[in-house]
Amino acid sequence: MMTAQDHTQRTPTPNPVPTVSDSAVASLNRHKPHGHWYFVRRQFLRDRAAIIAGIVLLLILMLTALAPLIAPYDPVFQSENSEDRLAPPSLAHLMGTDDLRRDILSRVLYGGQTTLRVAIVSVIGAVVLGLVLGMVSGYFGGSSDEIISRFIDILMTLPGILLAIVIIAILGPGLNNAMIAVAVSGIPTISRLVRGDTLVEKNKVYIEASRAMGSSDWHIMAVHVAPNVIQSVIVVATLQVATAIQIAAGLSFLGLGQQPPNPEWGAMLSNGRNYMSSGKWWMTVFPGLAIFITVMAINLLGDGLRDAFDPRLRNLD
Amino acid sequence: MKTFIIRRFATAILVLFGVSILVFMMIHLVPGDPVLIMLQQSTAGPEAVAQVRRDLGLDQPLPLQYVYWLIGNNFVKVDTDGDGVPDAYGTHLGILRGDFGRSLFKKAQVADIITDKFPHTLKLTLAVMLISIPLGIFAGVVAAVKRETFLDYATTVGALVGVSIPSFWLGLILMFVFGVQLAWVRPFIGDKGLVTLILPAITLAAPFVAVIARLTRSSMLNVLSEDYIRTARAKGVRERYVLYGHALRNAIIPVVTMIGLQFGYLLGGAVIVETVFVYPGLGNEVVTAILNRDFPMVQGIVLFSATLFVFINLATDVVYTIVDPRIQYG
Repeated sequence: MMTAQDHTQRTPTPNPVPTVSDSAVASLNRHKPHGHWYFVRRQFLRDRAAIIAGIVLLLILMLTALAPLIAPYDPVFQSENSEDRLAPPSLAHLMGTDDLRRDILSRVLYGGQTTLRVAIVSVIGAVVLGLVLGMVSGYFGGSSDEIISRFIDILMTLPGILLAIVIIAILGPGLNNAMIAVAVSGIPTISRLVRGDTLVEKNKVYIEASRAMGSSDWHIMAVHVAPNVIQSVIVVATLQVATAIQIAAGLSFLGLGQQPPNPEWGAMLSNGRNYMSSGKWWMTVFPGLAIFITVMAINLLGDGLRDAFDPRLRNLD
Repeated sequence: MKTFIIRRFATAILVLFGVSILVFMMIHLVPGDPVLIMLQQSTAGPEAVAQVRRDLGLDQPLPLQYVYWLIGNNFVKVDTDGDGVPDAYGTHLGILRGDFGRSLFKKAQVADIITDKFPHTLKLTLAVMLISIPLGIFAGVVAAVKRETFLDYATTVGALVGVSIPSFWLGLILMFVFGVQLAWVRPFIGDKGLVTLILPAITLAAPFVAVIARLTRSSMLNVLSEDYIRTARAKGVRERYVLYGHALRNAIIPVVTMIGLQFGYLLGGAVIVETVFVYPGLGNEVVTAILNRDFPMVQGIVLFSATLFVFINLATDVVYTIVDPRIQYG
């Protein structure tokens, strides 16, 4: 994000001590129109819901990252005390305990590390691959576009979760494979978005100018096209993290992701499901609430970013 | 328009061809010997392993395997007893003739299992559509017309909750509250008539209503600022007719595309929600098949749902060019 910002930031820093000889320049600077990023920032800071969502999200990230420091118990520690089996929420166990006498709060904190890591790493993977595929497809056109577009069409014939499941079927269950599966399921959205943006961008005059100056295609893509398509990618990638969390948790829920005894939100839900009918709601409610709040915060933040970057993107959903 | 339809059809066939290659390759991409993985911990001797390999045709060269898988091998002689000499005609009819092979786990034809499970998934999908389409469109129109009022904010917040709530969690909560605690909906798992459809349909409808409402709202807002809407109002057309006769008819186009996509996806089986409610549809079946490493079953279901998806999309696109002459495709 920073590199994109640096690249597009064109407003020079105003001279802190304007001298007499500089006065002409200074007056010009005063009337210089604000840059694009000024408006992006201003629009975003006006969006109270998005700001709150961002703060909530930071809090969640901090709580899960600091799990080793703040979690009251070891997430896989099984209490010796038989009263600690399926105990409802109390002061000793704020979210109660599960069937194996483990503290649910600690498991939610540690489990978040897994869920969020899978989601974030896989979205980064999807962004890198989607960016490359989309730019090559949009920039070169012709047969490379045809091949990449059909490949994306093929990936899109299955809903994200089913595509992820098929990949797990090939690679076998497990956390790393889940990460790959979630990443692949995110590629089509990013790639199609980037392809469209690249098609618009590549016909602009500055690209022609750069080509006239002898820039290679790859140089143009990396230096000119990428920074200009990255804005919508940031927005969509943020929203994709929300989808990725749901798919990652879904895979673990089905027993295809994180394997026991390590905690993960989806896997905890799946475990809690067996005790739902006997009224042990806390095993299911808390990990689910964690997913729900995180996903909602990301969606709100993503919507805020979208409105700040480019209100026209609103019609994408 | 005719050229567009032909081209669109050709693309659909090409995509399905690609899907078939990937689905076929699935079994070969598995690290390790697929036969050993499929047999899992069974104490099958090398003789039995070789037999399974021959039955599945895995002893043939890869391209030939694909051709046999696609169009069958009942017209060529293959080696069935392992002596290296082709001795009998093959028994596979190929996926093009609806033969997806036998399930390794259920000892039944994959095609028969799909025909058995699909009606359940279809029933659930239709129930979801019946709930979400009217509700989503109505909420979207109301939010757009009553812009920046309480109703609009309520729709926006509701839509946010709808897209953010994890479906498996919502399913479990609904099950707990309405199935277990209040006991209003009983039975609530499996497929035992209409009553068992209620909770899974609501669970699946929640995010769907949300996206329909959001899209309808933004699409309506775009259309309502068009000149022809002002013209209609200036002519003295009744407001209700302006909204539903003029505005919604134009605003609905992107919404219908999205509904088509979702319809195609849902027909392939709602993997997680079907599992939560132990609903005997395709989604539940594919999860079981994967946990059992039942590859022919996984291949069959994936191919089936991908085909449905491609053709529903094709149908949506073609219907558009016929219904709406303004739409021009490349």
